[in-house]
Amino acid sequence: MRKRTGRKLLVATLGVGAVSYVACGGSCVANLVPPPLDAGADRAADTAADTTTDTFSPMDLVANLVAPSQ
Amino acid sequence: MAAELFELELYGDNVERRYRRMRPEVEAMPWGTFDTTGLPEVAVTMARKQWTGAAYQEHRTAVACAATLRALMECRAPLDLIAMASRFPLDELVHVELTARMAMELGGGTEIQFEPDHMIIDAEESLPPLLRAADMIARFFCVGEAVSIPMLRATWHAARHPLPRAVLGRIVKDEAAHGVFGFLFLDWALESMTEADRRHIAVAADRGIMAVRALWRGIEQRRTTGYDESLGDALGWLHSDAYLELAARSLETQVRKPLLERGIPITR
Repeated sequence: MRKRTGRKLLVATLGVGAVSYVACGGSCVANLVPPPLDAGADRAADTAADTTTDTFSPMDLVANLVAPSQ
Repeated sequence: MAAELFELELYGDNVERRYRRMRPEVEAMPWGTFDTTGLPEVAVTMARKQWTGAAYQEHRTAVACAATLRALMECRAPLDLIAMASRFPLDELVHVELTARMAMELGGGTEIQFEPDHMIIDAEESLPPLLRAADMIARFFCVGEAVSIPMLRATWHAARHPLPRAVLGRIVKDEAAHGVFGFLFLDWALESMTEADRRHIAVAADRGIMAVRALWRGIEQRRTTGYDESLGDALGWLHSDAYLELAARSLETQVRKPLLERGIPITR
């Protein structure tokens, strides 16, 4: 095998600013605010804020929506 | 499906050289000039988190562009229109690199766990090819990319440091074509579509609009009213209130109005 000189482009620090996009796939509908969901954060409070019954998912959207600091 | 950690690598050697020749502007940016000395640690961590998140969102957008490109070929969209869209995945990969390098410039990426099989929602396989393309284009381009343009432009203007300013400027330049693409597609596709097809596109667009609004509700609930100058420098981000005000206006002018003008009966 030929040796190559690849390198890391993005290296994550585990435990820093942890965000989970797990379980936000195609099966997530309604009553969800979009990701990112802070791991272990107040997700229940977030989800309770949207009381619509419409079917949509955060994953319906892709966008370069550079959100402000929160 | 098990979660994976969002990290990225470069192949290097000739592969990287070919890539660099395609997009020489990336290496021309003032990398290595962002000095975080004196910035509060909490501000730098937040900036790392936001730029890592931006890299992930750009990566998702690359997946969406590739899925859309396949659907455009399957429905035999006009060749020049497909050719226009064929540039988009590369644009998005460049944006992934730029935003990832911004995170690394600030001290490294933060932790993102994700599921590779669930990065976007594809159109239903049972739909005919033209409607499959329209479904994704309505959500990803007519809503997501279209509303992004003014937001990105404003964020670019807000950036003061040359590095985030160069990064955002590049993204703004590329996204201009992405933002108009969805409506160019509709102007061709709608010629052969039924009223039922238009209603399907409206439902898809409404799903995108609801997702955008939900995102903004989240920002509104957590918005900061005081603007931290040091944080602003590290982030190159807009202040929350300015962001939300522009967001509402942009959704109306860049998304809802052009869809309604084309007879797409959106309700959101």
